[in-house]
Amino acid sequence: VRIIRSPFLLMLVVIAGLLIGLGVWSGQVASSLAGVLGAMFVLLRLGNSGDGRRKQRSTLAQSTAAARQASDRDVAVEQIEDETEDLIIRSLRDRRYATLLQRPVIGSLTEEQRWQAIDDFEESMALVPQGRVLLDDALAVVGYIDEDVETHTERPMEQFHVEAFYLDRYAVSNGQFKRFVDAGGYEQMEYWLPDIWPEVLDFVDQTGQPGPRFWSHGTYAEGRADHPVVGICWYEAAAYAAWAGKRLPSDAEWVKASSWPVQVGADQVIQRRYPWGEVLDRGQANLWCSGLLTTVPVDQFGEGMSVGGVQQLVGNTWEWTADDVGERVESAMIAGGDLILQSPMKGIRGGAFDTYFEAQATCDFRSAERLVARKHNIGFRCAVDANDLMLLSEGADGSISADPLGADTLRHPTDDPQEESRS
Amino acid sequence: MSNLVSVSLDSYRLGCSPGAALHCHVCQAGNVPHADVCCDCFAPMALTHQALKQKTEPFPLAALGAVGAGKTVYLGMLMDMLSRQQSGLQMLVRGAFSINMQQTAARALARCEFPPKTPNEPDRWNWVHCQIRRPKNRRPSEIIIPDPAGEAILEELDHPNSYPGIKAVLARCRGAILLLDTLDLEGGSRDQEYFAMKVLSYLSELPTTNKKGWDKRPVALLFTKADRCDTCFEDPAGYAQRRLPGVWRHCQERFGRHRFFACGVAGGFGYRVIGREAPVQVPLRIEPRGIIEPFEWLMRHVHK
Repeated sequence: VRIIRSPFLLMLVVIAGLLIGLGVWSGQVASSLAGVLGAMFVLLRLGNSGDGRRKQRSTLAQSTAAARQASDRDVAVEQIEDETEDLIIRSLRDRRYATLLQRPVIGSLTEEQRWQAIDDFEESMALVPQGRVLLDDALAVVGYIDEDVETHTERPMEQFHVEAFYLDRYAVSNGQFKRFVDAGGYEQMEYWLPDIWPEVLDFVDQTGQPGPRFWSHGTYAEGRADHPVVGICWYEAAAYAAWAGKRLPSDAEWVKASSWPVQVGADQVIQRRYPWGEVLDRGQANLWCSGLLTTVPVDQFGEGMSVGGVQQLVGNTWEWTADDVGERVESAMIAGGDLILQSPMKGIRGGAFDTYFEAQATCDFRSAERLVARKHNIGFRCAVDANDLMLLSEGADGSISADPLGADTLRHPTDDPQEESRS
Repeated sequence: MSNLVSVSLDSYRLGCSPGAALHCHVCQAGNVPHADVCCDCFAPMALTHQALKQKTEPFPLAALGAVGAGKTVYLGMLMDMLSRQQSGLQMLVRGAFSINMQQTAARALARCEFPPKTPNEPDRWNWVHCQIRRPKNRRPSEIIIPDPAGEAILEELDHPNSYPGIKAVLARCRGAILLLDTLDLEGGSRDQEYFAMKVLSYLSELPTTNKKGWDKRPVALLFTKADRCDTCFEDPAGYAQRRLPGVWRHCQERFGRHRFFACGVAGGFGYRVIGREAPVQVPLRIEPRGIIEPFEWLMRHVHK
């Protein structure tokens, strides 16, 4: 059928047919025989040529496929390399250094990229060494003993051990959070906890675009890039932390970083009331008493820095922590009393610009808020486990050294000219 | 043999003497000079003594609200904030009875508790006497604000003259703050609306002693505990129009100078349970919002 479809061949077949017909009609056997032979020749020729083409086509297809496969492989490899490079560049641009310094990723970085990531990391995060911390699980307990002893009792605090970790030196700013929003963070479900997926669509700004509650048109108010991001619920904070390759600090970690406990003797720990010491001064934290009554840039109030170099742990905004607060917790102020909350909450710490009483902005004061609350005075900062980051020195027996990303590891080769010349 | 004399509990009435020289500053009832509280309205006589010593005569303002609306918390917080504030409106609290109220409220809130409920007995009510200094105004104002129990206010509204002190203050005061519990409203109850309508109706029907009737005196309607209601905080007037249409209409028709406000003191709530006692609401932290604005507005309009 395929042969007959060609007009030229059709014509040849018709001619052969006419010759056979003419031979039969005129009784000339030679003529009809010539016709039959002609027709057979044409058909055989055609058949041969069809098989050959098919074979040729098949061979060609095979070689083309092989070439294409090889080419596709090359293209795919190139594409992956390009994509990885793009991802690394984008991550560096978005200051997602913590994602780059992790074990599976760091090998893909060039030397320059690696040091850029480490420089960013060093600039942005402070090491909090491992150790013990005193913590009270109770909510809304001020840390002083009231003279009214009938109703107020001193609470013994529990000791917890905290592993070494890194904490953001500054609270996450509007500018930093915008990178997450611009990178499509609200559309990428892998950063969000599954139980909140249906609600993510509702986390919009004042113009209905994805973003913190007090933003408009997907961005913050002019001049507030370096102010802490507020109007974000706990889930938004956790999603940002996941995108940045970090996590929210636990209550114990937060208290460890702020009160900087000192172990005295075998089992006694003393820790500070405020990150800078025992007494509050208006110039050290942005609380109600400072009179500003709004947030300030995350690097202001430098005098209130903790021993480890973390800024604004007290004041400016409350900070979300990772710890759950159940619906029934010990209230602690009155012996035997329990506190019932209307819904499960997450811990917040540190006080904000509108925290009225200094006693509620100490290192050990703990409050709580609903997970989906998007308040004007709650922000966050992130933490990362020291052991999660690469640049660990691995021993021959597979053991990992105890000083990950320590001072030696973090020193840039070009920082020490003598060492550089030696090398 | 001695004669035992039975003295009734209201022995302070012995201090009442129509001819006595000391007239209560709140209700003008005559009292003996050593009386502790007024025999008629139960206002502390220290108020009168202080008023006599001042060059400027104090004038009363009213803070009204149903039971649990947050009058004591609001007034205590207002006093504490204005006393600590370094710019804008500033307050100088006068008299131990006023400072006691400030101290009780602030001390409880600092411990993440609400101050105890104001007792129903008039002689145990809180009274605020203070001096207010407004920016750009040389002459400070002296004001008196009573903090009666919510039950007493309701009783006076339902049965006028039950509490002469309330009536005396409302008749003389130059402005009022009416507190409405937002949590109660959000819970679906309409009690706040009925209470507010009773108050507004009572005020508009009061015989006034000065030239200005209540239609010209400022009334600040303040939604308390509004932390949990963002729509209320963003647009209190719109919220009132939607949720309290009766009050809204009342204000539009009878009170020429009124304005809606929203405030909050606690950043979050929980309920404390001790044994088998009923749960008590407690704040999880204190972050006052919208406390000063209504008072500032009131002071501005009082002096117009």
